[in-house]
Amino acid sequence: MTMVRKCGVLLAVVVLLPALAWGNGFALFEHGARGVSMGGAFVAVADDASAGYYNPAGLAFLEGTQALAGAFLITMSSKFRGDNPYPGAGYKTEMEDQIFYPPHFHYSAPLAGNFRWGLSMIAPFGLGTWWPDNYAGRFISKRIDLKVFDVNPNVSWKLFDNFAVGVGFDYFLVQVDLTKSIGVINPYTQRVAEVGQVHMYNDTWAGGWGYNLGVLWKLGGGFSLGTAYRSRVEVEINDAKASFVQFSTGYADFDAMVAQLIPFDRNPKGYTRVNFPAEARIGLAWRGEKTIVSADAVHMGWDSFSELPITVVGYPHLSSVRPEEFRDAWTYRVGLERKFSDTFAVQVGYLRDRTPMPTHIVSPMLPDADRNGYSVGFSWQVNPKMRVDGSFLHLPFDNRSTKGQNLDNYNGTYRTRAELFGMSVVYSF
Amino acid sequence: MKKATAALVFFALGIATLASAQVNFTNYVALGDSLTAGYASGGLAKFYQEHSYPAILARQFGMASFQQPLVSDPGIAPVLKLQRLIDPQTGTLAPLLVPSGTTPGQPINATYQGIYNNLAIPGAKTGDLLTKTGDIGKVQRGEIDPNTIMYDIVLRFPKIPGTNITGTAVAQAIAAKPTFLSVWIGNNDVLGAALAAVPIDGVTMTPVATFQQQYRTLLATLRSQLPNTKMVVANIPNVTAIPFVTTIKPYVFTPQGQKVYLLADSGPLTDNDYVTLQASSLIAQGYGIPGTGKLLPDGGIVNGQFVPGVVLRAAEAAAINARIAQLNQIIAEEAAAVGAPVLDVNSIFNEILAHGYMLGGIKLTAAFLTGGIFSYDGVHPQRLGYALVANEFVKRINSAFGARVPQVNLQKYLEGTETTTTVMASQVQIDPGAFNSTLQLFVPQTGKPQRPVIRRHLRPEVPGGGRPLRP
Repeated sequence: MTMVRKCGVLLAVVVLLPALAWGNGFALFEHGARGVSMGGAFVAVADDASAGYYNPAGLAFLEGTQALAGAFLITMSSKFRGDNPYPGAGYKTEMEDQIFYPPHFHYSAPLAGNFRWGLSMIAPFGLGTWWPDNYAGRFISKRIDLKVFDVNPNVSWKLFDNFAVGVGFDYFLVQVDLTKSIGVINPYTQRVAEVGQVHMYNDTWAGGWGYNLGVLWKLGGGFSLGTAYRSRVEVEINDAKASFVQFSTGYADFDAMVAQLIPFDRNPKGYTRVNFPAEARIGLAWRGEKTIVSADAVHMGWDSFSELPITVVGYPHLSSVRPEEFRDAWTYRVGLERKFSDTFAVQVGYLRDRTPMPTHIVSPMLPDADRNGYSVGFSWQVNPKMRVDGSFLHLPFDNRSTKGQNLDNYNGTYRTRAELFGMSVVYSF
Repeated sequence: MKKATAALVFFALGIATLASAQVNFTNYVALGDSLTAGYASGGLAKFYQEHSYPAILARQFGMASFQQPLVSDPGIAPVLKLQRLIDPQTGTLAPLLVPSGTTPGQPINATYQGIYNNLAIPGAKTGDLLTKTGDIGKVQRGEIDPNTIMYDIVLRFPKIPGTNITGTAVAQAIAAKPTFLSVWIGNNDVLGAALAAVPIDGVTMTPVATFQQQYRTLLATLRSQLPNTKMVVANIPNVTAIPFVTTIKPYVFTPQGQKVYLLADSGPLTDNDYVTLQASSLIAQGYGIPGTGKLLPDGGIVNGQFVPGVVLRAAEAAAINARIAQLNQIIAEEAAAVGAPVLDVNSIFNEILAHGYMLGGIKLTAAFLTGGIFSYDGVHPQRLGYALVANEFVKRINSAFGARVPQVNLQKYLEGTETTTTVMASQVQIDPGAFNSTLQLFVPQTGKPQRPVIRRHLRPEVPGGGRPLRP
């Protein structure tokens, strides 16, 4: 009863929170503080309720009922230096400061026999880029918020004492919010004029289905092998609104001409579609009396994200299909946990993410890059029922130059970094 | 110690190698026609000349001084400006272009003692660079000859000062001893066919054999006289890539929404025919509209006399483009013979026509008025367009010579914060009335404008051009 209420409250909180960040394309893996502290190398460990994300097979080995909830606080900064011909050498700008706090919630309970059930609610993807109002790339994108929320019930089954499988369904809830300026050549000045702004968003949640599988095999001698797969999820957003606002240019009849082309104040419908990538991970872990060592390789099927249609229904001249042309990418994670007492453990980890974005796609919408992650964290068993996990992840991105290849011809170098602070509370019943 | 010496030697060698890979851009001279002069919106004016592609290139090269035959605004002839987009009486889209002044500009750099860096003459054909001269004295005395005014302003000296050498464009370029030279010529050897909408060899187009001989002489002369000068040449864009040809559709829609083809004196038009911007004021007067009894002039030889037209038939356009392909083949061969890389402007403009040119998320196109590249005459680029051409030159120069000339900052042109550093030697006072006769080149047209209207003819680069059309 109380659990149900707690779930309800958490769901409400989760839905209300802006839950976004980016890196590795725009995939997130911050769904449990302890997993992140170990660099995300957790598929073969998967020994608490956060296994609902990392490897649902791991849930089969849990005892009793466990709930795990928490959030990450992510600060990001990205600096951009321009190249000629656009926006020009010497041009500098910086992304607006934003703090994201993607929450996570995992629940796992016995079902019958060797079966257990669980529910995870996470933000598996998210994107938030916000540049200054008058920056030179405003005709490409000013602000993007992509919120993705995954409701993921699962069932796990311990077939043998050392072998379990898990399976789950994913229901994605997605909101997008895109803002950019509209530029038209002003025939009076023969230069570009900022004639307005378009804001496309859906205020209801669009949905899409997927599934996930996991296997955890305790090999003996302390070794375990884990593998997990999360399917690709296609989400169509049919009921977006496109809101156009006109800016005066000081040329009345030019403004009137523009107003004939763009449906200002008419709020036509918008449509877009996102193909979220599949994710396959495999990992090996070794568990000693006081130590856990773990390594994962993760393959992200980013090929699915090949284009982003942005359709203003009834206005083909304002609609476009943006090539995205992401490529599949690997990321690698290693982690270590060391127990210092029965109630206190420390984790460290390292990860290397390869960006799925080819150079010509790198843009202010998402200036992704390869990145290193250095993590550290702790677990504190406050009492037999409650554990608190804390995590810090330092994520410097490699400098990313567009090498004059950007398809919007907005070229330069992005320097991005992120710091993440996470906390999870684990409660066993 | 030995290692240090060896390292030093290698370092020195490295420097030497680098230096030899560098091109000397300290004295850059440009030869060409209106496209090189920075001519735009139907006139030669400082407003555009300061952003001619050679002037922009010179800034990219880091030259302290790049001398041009600047003409004070509003230019010779006064450049066109956009008066309005929407007709206040009908409320419909009906852009109106008018001269931006009644008094033409004047040469303001005429007393510069040396040879101009920009020796491009609006209207010049390939052969003209080898033969024609100018005399600024005529302009100063008020003797304005519309046929020579541009030569008088650009070339100035019948004989190169202090010598007995005839002051042709080529001779002046050689006398200037440039370290770097650009040659973009040949456009007027064929463009006249598009402007007059009639391709006739020897009348509106230079015959191929003549062009080949002249182009070969031009490059060979420059190469033999300037053996160490690095040279880049550019070829000729297709006439179907410019708004002058592509803007007006061969049909109109009736108030009932019915599509009707315009009528020319040679018969009704079809989907693949072109109507030049020259026709805009005629159509506004009802010419070409079925039922009015007035026909658009197709042009041609009438009673043994050449008459320009405003209708470019599909076959004519194809013939002109085929001719351009022939001339570009000659340009490629002759440039290769003198070791000059070619900037393929033809491909660049075709690419812009097909896909536009993205700049910071803004798609520039070859469209008239709203495309961002072409000026109000529909033939010549405006400042952003010239900056774009300059940037293509930079890329070509860098790839051909292994140079590291910085690309042009086009953001400043797109958003209008560009700066200039053109150095002007002095100013000269000339009676503005002396230019009145120039104005007669550009006879204003009247009538009710209902579509893009140019209220006078373009700077004539056509034989006998500039005369009012007599449909």
